Amino acid sequence: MAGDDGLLDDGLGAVRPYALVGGRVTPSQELDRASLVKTGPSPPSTPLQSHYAKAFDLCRAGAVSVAEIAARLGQPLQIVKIWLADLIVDDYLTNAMPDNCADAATDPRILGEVLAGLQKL
Amino acid sequence: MLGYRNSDLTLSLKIVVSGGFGVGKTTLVGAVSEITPLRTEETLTEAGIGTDNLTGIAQKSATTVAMDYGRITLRSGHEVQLAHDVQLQLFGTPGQERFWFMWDDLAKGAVGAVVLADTRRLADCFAAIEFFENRRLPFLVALNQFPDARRYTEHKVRAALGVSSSVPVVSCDARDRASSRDVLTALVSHALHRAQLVPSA
Ligand SMILES: Nc1nc2c(ncn2[C@@H]2O[C@H](COP(=O)(O)OP(=O)(O)OP(=O)(O)O)[C@@H](O)[C@H]2O)c(=O)[nH]1
Ligand SMILES: [Mg+2]
Repeated sequence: MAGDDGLLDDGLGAVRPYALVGGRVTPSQELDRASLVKTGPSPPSTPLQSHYAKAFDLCRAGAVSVAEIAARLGQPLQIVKIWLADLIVDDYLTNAMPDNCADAATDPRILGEVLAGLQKL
Repeated sequence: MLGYRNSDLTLSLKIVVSGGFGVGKTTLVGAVSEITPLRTEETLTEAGIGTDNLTGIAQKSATTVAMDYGRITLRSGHEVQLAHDVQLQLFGTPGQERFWFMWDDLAKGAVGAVVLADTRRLADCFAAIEFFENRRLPFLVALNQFPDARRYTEHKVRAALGVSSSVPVVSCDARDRASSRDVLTALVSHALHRAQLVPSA
């Protein structure tokens, strides 16, 4: 889906971000602004549409948050969530977080580690 | 203890930095972040309040809200052992009160919140305090010490804010990295204490 003919690639130039999500209003994957993604096991074999390619390139260096990608692309969070979800469905990107980390923010062991880490900064 | 870190996965933990207009939120995020702070933009519509949803994004009623973004990566090393690398994600909220409704999604799953306050206009942070109290999110009040502001005792400030004695009230200089880092340390320490009292269900 990320390789479909792109409006941006047609030389149209300015395209409202809304057009680049094909009118969809919700991403196909649950992504929070703080979710971390990284490149997946199978890199794209054909060139991605430019907005997907830019998002993908930002993930090459390792785990990066949805919010950071959106900020660096200068696009609204909601739009970027949809693009990233598409890239995850295609296996170009993958979740960089451990499974079952939903309760990390209230896990005393993890908070203890974070506290020790911050004190050593 | 080599091999304690068991994967190349990274934990993500959110911290919210809020408070009234011009109180130093952007300054604090920039002072502690390991990257030049960024701005994230979200498109909000009244129809989309509290939902992760683009309905109405193309309408004229849509508003763009900017938030500060910064991060701190904690890596396992010989001094600190972590099961996973951790990325602390710092989100600085917009100062204007009319955007409070978007914090619901922002607060979900967060470690806690820093409520920055200026003693010259303490009332500016009331809305934030009320919000985090209602959400039962651990928070602390950080008094950003502007040079021309009178110094009050922690006791006086606590009384004026009407916060429980368990809520930490600390002073800081948001421009200073170590001072801002200490605010985060106090917040995580508070969240840890809360987590030990209330085992997560
Ligand atoms: N003296 C002093 N000045 C500060 C401190 N923190 C911030 N400032 C200054 O106060 C002004 C406002 O700081 P910001 O960080 O932009 O405040 P903000 O809360 O992000 O403001 P809004 O996003 O507009 O609500 C800037 O000019 C800062 O340089 C501080 O600790 N001491
Ligand atoms: Mg600001």
